Amino acid sequence: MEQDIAITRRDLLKTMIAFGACATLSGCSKGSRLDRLTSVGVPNTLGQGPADMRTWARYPEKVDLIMLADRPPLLETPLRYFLQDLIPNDAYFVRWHYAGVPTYVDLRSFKLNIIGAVEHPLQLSFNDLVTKFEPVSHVAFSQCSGNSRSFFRPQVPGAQWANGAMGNAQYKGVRLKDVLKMAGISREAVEASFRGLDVPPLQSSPHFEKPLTIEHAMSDDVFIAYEMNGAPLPMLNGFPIRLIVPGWFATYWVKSLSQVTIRTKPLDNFWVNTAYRVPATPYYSEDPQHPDEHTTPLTTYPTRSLFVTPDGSTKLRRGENTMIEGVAVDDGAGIRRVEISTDQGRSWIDARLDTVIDKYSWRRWRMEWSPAQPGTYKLQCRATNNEGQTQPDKEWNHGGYARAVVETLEVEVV
Amino acid sequence: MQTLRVLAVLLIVGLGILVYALWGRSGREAPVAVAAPPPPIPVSQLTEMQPIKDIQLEYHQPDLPPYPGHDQFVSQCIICHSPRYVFNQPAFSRKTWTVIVHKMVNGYGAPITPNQEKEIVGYLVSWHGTEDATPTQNRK
Repeated sequence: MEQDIAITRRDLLKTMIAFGACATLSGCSKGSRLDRLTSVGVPNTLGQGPADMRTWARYPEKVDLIMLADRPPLLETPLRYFLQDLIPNDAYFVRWHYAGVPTYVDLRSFKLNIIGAVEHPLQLSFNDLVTKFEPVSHVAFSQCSGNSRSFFRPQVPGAQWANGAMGNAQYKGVRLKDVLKMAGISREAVEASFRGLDVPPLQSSPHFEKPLTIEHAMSDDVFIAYEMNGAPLPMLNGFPIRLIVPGWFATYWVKSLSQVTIRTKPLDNFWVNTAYRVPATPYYSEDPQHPDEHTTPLTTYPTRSLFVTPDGSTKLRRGENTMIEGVAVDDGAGIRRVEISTDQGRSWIDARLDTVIDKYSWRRWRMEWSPAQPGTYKLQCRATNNEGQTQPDKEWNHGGYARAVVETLEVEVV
Repeated sequence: MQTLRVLAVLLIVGLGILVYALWGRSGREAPVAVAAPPPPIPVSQLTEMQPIKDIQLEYHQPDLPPYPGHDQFVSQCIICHSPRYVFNQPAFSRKTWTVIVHKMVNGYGAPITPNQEKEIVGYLVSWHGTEDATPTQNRK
């Protein structure tokens, strides 16, 4: 934690650059307070290009995060937070679809509605959830479908995330299946779909709602969290309750969950039919010149590993030990192996894996490295999971989703 | 005598510096009272003790350049989302901006006429885009 708070000379320098940069950037709104909003140079390209200028902002219940947008807020977690097992609530990334983000909740009137093809429609209060069901607790990894989108070439429209639209946290709550059993779902049910308190800006805009098959909804995995890292959820991460769909992309983790609809026909909306779809190909990859017409909804996390440190922003010294650290994730089968290459994939060495935290948690890894010669090194990391899934060398899709390509990090050794 | 006086002055100045340095250091090293954050209220008591969560969201809207189409952009786009959705995108081609704006109509139900669409695309290309590459440029 100390590391997170300490202001390094580099931070100070960045801030000084920011004051200069603000004058030239139209991105700095007039009259905004600098303690709340600063533009600083952040290397977001992992050594793949020059540092760009990204904007930082402080939102309620949050520390300074990288702000991609302000209405609705899209906030990215800086890489350095990924050097710990759990991401603090105040540093956890934020992503909403519509500007109608819930900002006010009164637990005395808040209800979770279970409606549709059920024997007894339910209206559950926050207290009902806390007291009437068996609590469960799990550490789970969540990741925005568009995490790392900014690294796709050619570039694709959408939030231009670097690698910080992800996180790992401990959640406590109740199994969705226990709640659905209390409502008594119909034999004809095929799907459960989920809505939160967020509202579309126009009558004509499709309400954000995502479905799971009834089998998935009734599995042991899916739960409704009322606690995140031992505390109530931050408003921007879905207070008071959030759906947790371990191993599945965060688009299914509906925030400020307020309505579950049991359906006898699959949900047919923009969020299923048009958005969050990927080509039905290995690694969801397609040719930019000829995008695939056949697409499928994005669901589980592909196997992936990421560098956390070094990050390419500082020079390393030859002969000195450097700890290379990162994280690896998959759909829950479990990470079996992470290999590191310091010569752009010609040879690979196994990294040391941290102990498994939980089935759907990320797994951290590390490797000591002492570069003998000065020069530019291209580091790569490659994870393999227990089902033998590993990472592709090339990957592109038109939505910029599910990036899992072997990452190349350029570092300079002097 | 002269030497003694100089020594005395130096002594006083030296003492002064010493006192200032010690005072300054003690001032710097004095422990800063940091209140430990209160432990979170257990969820079982939250409804009773702190039932309301209320946050204020600030908007950090960038300034919009006055290119043709500015008014259409403001009236049709900003009602739903921040202009940062444009500003934080790569500078796309006219073709890509056309697809994006059309998605706002078809996907998100924005009530924009085809003529307004054209104006908005023009604005986005002037502000944060490029004209489509000609076939000749493509071959290069």
